Amino acid sequence: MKQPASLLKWNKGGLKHPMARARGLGAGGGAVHHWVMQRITSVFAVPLTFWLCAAVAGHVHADYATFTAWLAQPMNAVLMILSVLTFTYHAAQGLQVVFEDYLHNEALKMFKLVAMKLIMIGLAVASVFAVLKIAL
Amino acid sequence: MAGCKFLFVKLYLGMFMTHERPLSPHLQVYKPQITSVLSILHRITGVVLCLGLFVLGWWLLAAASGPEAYATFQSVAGSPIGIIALVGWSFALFYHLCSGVRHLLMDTGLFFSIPEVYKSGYATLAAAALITAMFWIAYL
Repeated sequence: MKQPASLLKWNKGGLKHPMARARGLGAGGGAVHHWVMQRITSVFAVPLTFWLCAAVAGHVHADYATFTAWLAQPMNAVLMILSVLTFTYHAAQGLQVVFEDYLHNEALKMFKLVAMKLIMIGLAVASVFAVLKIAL
Repeated sequence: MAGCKFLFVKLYLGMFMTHERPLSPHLQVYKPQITSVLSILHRITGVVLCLGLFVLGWWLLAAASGPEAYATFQSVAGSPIGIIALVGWSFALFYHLCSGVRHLLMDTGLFFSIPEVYKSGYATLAAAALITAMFWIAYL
């Protein structure tokens, strides 16, 4: 059976189903990277969680001078920055999946995803800056 | 005759359900079970912990801003509501941690049979409660 000319034209590029082309919503190709990074950050997060818990429990009642002196020590500052970066990355990835599952309006979803990522980047930058300001 | 009635009921309901049909992940139409409840709890604790990250950021920024800002943070964190929130966050953190480890093990193909799913599920809850209790006992 002879295929319509238009179909042949659009099939030249690859094996994508014509319906996927028509919708323009085919897979972006970033899902595997997202999945792998979520696992990697979760593995990093396990020891960092225990360190952060001990840090919070040990210093939540500490006065200003004690806490800043403790955070100014290189190892503590590095671990705090690593924790903040790991957790914000992991949190942004997790929130992305939640948004993708529960937001069904495509335009609003994209807007909220971008806003969420910007807020998480802002949080990470602010936290890292705070640690550096204390430590340096 | 009965089939005809059923068809009419279906058509009648269909008039209302066309735009209101439940979309994924169908939280409201399934009976809660340990599998789904733990999965939902993992997600809820994850979202709660995102809010906790902002409190951590506030703590660090307060310490970077000076003694007054740090004192304000400490008065909020040390208040009864602050302590309750910290206990809640610690449980959310340890539950998400234990459940996350369980998910990582499931990624390798473990715990796929129903008895294993139940056992590992209850073990996750118990471990989270135990670590939370140990953390607060050590802290006090």
